[in-house]
Order: sequence, then C-alpha cells, then structure tokens
Amino acid sequence: MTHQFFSPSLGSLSLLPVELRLAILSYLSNVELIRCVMPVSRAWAELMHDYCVQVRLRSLIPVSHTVLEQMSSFLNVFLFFYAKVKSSTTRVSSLERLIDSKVELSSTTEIYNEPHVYASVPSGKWVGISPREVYRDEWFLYYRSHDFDIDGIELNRICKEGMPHDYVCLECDIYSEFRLHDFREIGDRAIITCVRIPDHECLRSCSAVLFAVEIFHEWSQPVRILWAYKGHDLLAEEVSNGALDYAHALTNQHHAQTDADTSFIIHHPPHRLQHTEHCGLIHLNSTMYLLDHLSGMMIPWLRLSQTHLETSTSFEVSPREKHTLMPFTSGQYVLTTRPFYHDANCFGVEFIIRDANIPASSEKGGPLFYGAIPMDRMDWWESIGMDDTIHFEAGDDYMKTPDTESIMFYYCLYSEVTETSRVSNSEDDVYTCYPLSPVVWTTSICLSNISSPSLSNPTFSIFPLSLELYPDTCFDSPSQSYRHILDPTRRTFISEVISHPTLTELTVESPETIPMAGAIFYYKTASHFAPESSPISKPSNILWPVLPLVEVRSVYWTEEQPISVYDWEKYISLNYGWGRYTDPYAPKEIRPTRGLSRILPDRVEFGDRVCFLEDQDASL
Amino acid sequence: MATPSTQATVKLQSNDNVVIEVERAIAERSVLIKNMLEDCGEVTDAIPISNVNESILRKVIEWCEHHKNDPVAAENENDDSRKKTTDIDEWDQKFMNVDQEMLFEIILAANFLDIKPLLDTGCKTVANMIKGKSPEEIRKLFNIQNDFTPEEEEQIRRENEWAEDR
Repeated sequence: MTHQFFSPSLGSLSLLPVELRLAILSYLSNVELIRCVMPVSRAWAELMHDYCVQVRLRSLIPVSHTVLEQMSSFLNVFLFFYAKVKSSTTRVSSLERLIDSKVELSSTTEIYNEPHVYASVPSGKWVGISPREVYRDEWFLYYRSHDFDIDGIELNRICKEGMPHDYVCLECDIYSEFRLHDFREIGDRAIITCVRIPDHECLRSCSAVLFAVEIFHEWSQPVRILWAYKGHDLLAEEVSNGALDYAHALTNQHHAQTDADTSFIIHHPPHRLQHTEHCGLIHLNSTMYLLDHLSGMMIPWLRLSQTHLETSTSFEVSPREKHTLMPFTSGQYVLTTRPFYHDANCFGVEFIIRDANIPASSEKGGPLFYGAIPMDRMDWWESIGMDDTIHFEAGDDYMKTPDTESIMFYYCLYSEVTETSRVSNSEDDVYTCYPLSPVVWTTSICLSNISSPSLSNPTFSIFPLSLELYPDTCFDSPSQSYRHILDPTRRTFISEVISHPTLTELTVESPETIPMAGAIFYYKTASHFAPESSPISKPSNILWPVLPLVEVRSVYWTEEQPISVYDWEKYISLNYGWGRYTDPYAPKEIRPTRGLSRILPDRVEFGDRVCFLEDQDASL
Repeated sequence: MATPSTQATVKLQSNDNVVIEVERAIAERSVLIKNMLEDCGEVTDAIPISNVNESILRKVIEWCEHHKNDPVAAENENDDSRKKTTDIDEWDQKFMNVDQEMLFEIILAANFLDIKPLLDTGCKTVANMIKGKSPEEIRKLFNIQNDFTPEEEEQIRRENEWAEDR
C-alpha cells in the first residue's frame, strides 16, 4: 500500500503521502527540526522546508474575520519574522541601475533666490523648485559650493527618463509631474526622493500611481557624476546607511517636520494643498497628505519589482534562508481569491498563493500561502470578482546584517480585472449590477522594520495591507473621477509605531521571542460611493451610503501582554467630533501636528492622537 | 440521508477479500465508515476497505475496540493543543511497537479510514523515533541515503550550530 515510489533520499518515509510526513514533523520542535531533520538528506531538508512554509507559516497567519484580528495577526507575523531573520545571513538582490549614464551638471541654470519648496542642509546644499509658474514642471538640484557658485541639475528630466510614465495612460503624461519628496545626506552622498504626483485632470487608473526614485550625487567626486537608482535596489545593495535612512524617510516622513534634529525641511506650496483637497483627503494637514503618499507608494514600489523580476536572473537561496524568510523569495506566483462570507459583518476575500511554475495538481503545487483580507464593506468584497485569478509578484526580502536589525518585506498582489472576468450567467447575480466594477485592483503587503538604536527599543513600521480599487468610470466630471480614484480613505495602513521607553532594558532570552513594547496607531479606512447621485448607466437596486467610513484604532503591546487594544474611536468622537461615521470631507479644524508628545501611565499622547493603555498594571 | 439503522454489527472487507464482522460502535470510530453507514442506512453487505489488508484491518479494529469508550474529539478541536505533546499512553505505545512497515501501514489506514486519534498516535510514534537522534541514526532508521556533499553538510552544520546546544 504505497503512495509513491520509494525515494532513497527520503527513505521509508516516502511510503507516506506528503501530508502525513508534514503531520509527523508537526510534533517536532523547531530545534529538533533543524538539528535532526534538516541535515539528514536533501529530501528531508526539502520536507522540512515544505513543512515550515505550508504548515507553520500558515498557522501563523490565522483567518481573521475582523480588521482588528487581522491587524494583530500581521503584527505577530512580523514579530515572528523579525526574530527569525535577526540571526540570518545577508542576502541582496542584484542592483538595477535606473539611469546608466552621466548626468552633466549645468552651470548655466538660472539662479533662483527663494525657491518655493526647498530643503536645506547644514553643509550649504539645498534643493529647490522653481517658484515661477512657467517653470512649474522643472525643478532642480542645486549645489552651493564653498565659493558660492551654484550648479543645477534638472531632476525632473532624470525622473522622466528613468521612470517612464504608466504605459496604459495617455493623459497623465501630459499633466503629471514629479516633485521633491525627501532630501537627505548620507555621508558624502545625497539621497533625493522624487514622487510622481499625477495631475487631477487625468482620468486613468495611473492617477493613483506614484513613483519614487533615489538619486545619488557623489558630492566628493570632482567629476560630479550623478547616478539614479531605483529605490529598492538601493536599499539592498548600494548604501546600507542610506537604505535605512530612506526607509525611515518613507515611513516616518510625517515626523520630519517636527523633528528638530532632522536636516531637511519640506514645505507644501499652496497649490498642493488645493490639490490635496481636491483629491478628497480627510484633512488638509500634512500628516494625512504624506501618509497618503506613503501608502500609495507601496504599490508602484512593488510594480517596480515586477519589472525587476522579469529582467533579472533567479538567485540561489539556501535551505535555511528559505525557511527563515517569508515563503516568497523570487519568482512568479499565482494568487487566487475567493470571497468568504460568514455573516453581514464578517466577510472578505481569502487568497491562496501558489508557485506559478508548479502545476497545482502536482504534489508540490499546493498553496504556499493562505490568507484573508477581511472587509467590512460590501463594495470591496464584490468588486473583487468571484474566482478572479490575480497575479502575485514577489517583492524582495531585504535583510541587513544582524547588527543593523533591519528587515523589509515588500509584496504585491495585482490584477487587471475586466468586466468579462466577472460575467455571470445568472441575471440576478449581484456582480452584473454592481455599478462600479473596477478594472484594476491592487493590494500590497508590506512588513518593514526600520533600524533602531537597540533591539529592546525597536522602531519599525508595518504596512500590512494597502488596497486600491480603480473603478471603470462613469462619472460626470474628471474631478469626481479623480477623487474617486485617489480616495485615500480606501486604505488600511499603520500611521505610527512607537516603542515604550519604560521597557528598553529588556533583553533577548530566546530567538523564539523578542521583547518588544510599544504602541501602533493605524487607520482602517473604507469608503462608499454614491451611485444614486452619479450618472451611472447600470441599474443598481442597492442603496449605497454616501459617507465614507473612517476608523482610527490603536494597538498596544508588551512582551508579556502581546496585544491589547483600545478602541479610541469613541475618544476621538467625543473630543474631536469625528469618528467612524463622520464625513471626512466636511470642513474640520486642523488639529495640532503630530509627534510623540508624552507618555503617561495610562496613555500615550502622540501629536494629535492618544493611545490609552489598557490594563496598565499588567502591561507596564 | 437514509433512515438511521439499528444494526449491531457491520462487515468490513479488506483488500485481500477477508470479511471481518465488527460491532457497529467500534466500526464507527472510523469517520469514513460512520458517514457511510449514516448515508446508506441498513448495510447487509460487507463494506469494502479497499486500501487496507487483513492484518492491518485487524490491527486497526483492535485499536478501535480498546478505544471504543473514548470520548469523540470535537470536530473543531484546536490543532495546536493536539500537537503540543508527543506523549502516548502505555497501551498505545505497546500497540505501536511493531515493525516500521506495519507502523506506516497503520498510519495510512488510519488516514484512509479517518480515525484521527489513531493517526495522531501513529504520527507521534514516528516523531518520537526521530526525536533525540543524530542525522546518521535517522538515516539508518529510515534507510535514507545521504545525498549531501561534504561541503553542504559542513555548511548546514555551521548554520545550525546554534541549535546544537539547545
């Protein structure tokens, strides 16, 4: 009664089907797996890897039916990987140069005395954008040398050459522009982050696509060669310190303005604020504005990795790396989604990810990854079609050496869903009458840890989920369409993560556990459209509420008490007059800027937010 | 679904065509048989157990007889709690004290017949055989050919040094 041929490398265990082999391994501890199983043979090492990926990893990611549970589980996953990779070896991907040519510095650029948007640094370098309306699309990197000569570099030209416009859009190229996002000096180099901000007049899906690029200028080189690299490649290989700073800039950009030690300043010109308002942001404060960019950047970031994967060769991953990292290392994967629906308040999308190169019917063709995206609004659930097959592009697992305590994971799920993919034979099928079926939906999963001063005092940010749906149209005005597309309330993302200062002395006792303490602030946002007020041709017998939903929650954890949650929505509603069912577009007073204000025994005040610590005796 | 039957015994036919009559309550330790009986009602013919031979079937029935009064585990029992321990009670240890081939056959039969406690016991037994042994001992135990190169072995040893003193 054998299920397969005897494999010398697997031994008599090959008499059992793979699921029973995995069941046997489930009774062994991690140490036993590594000490006893892995060194036996290649087949056993592979078996162990399969077990880690297919059983243990999946058990780490429970199917959560509430947003809160989902967020917590992602945190746990992050902590798990964080602990695992601390002792792992460094692996980097190949460097892909964005612009492979010298960029001549211009010495004839007109000098602008007071750029509208500028960044100043102690060494006398500064970055500016032309204040003149006619040159609005031209902005430059200025370098003020010691003898006060000024050179300028047309950064927008570099960006346009290196970061081609979204090929599906014929409109945005005319209107969209790059703008300065961040400027930092790392050693003798400067890192400049540029973001393509689509113009609101563009009607296409690429309106929601932002790009980022780092540009390195080796200030110390006499020839002044300027190189531009795609961001994630830079993170991996080019400059470790720069990578960390860049990542920090990405995730904590909103802290910069209030941080006295930060060496750059970014101002938003008035027209940008108008632009922001037009895009339908909740508040016209820079926090939301930057967070919008932040979450939006995660998606094109990963689209970049798609190009990268197509053009690069695969790399070797040792068995140990395979089981210490996320299961997706490099290559093509296929994701299949299906909606789950338990009750009116408990539904979402389940997703299964398989290796695209292994047939699903084969023994190893089982899911590599299983997860669920709970959604609390029907439109999300329905807009991702039943049984849509969605491509999964692996991001890169970036690890730094253990002493830097940094790791970043970026993954992306994307698809181009068309009307034909959701055609139903049933006339009563809700999909056929859904008014705003998207043509594209994108979601990203990003777990990132940012360098911290010590293991016991980590600073990291998690972007567990960012979901965007691009509707296939039917608005009476471009602005309405654009607002719809860029609606930032359709995302879920972490806003801040802070560690708790009273627990900084904790030490690591076991690689299985990592002492951490802190608070996470996150937004879970969703929104609805108002088809009854829009000229939508398709009939809809469902009344869709107009008001978007905005949830703001916080999570607090300690080592002993991993997660405790206080729903501070009530607090916000009482004290600020907005909350879950408040129209975010209504005029509101701009509340104080953010920044960690103080930590009290019962709460953490973080700028205009507050996190109440539940059960403080247990947690502190 | 058919009307529930009150029959006291059922006949099971192994893949080598041996028919064994067994109390229905004992046979219903197998979820497969239990569901089959519920669906079919009165069954007079022998139920073919096509994947199990006589000796293994008798062995499985022996286990079911001994455990016939055990409480049936809840369907949604937490898997984690089930896997926390590899402790096996004394009778089961003796029961599983068979040659390796038969042990695997029992596991396969338990899997086919959907007898979860027996399957767990079998898997735990194999896991216990692995525990505490060196890779070389495991190779001998399961007749495994070491296909690692010396360099690979050294690399694995180096990477896993941290686990050695735990």
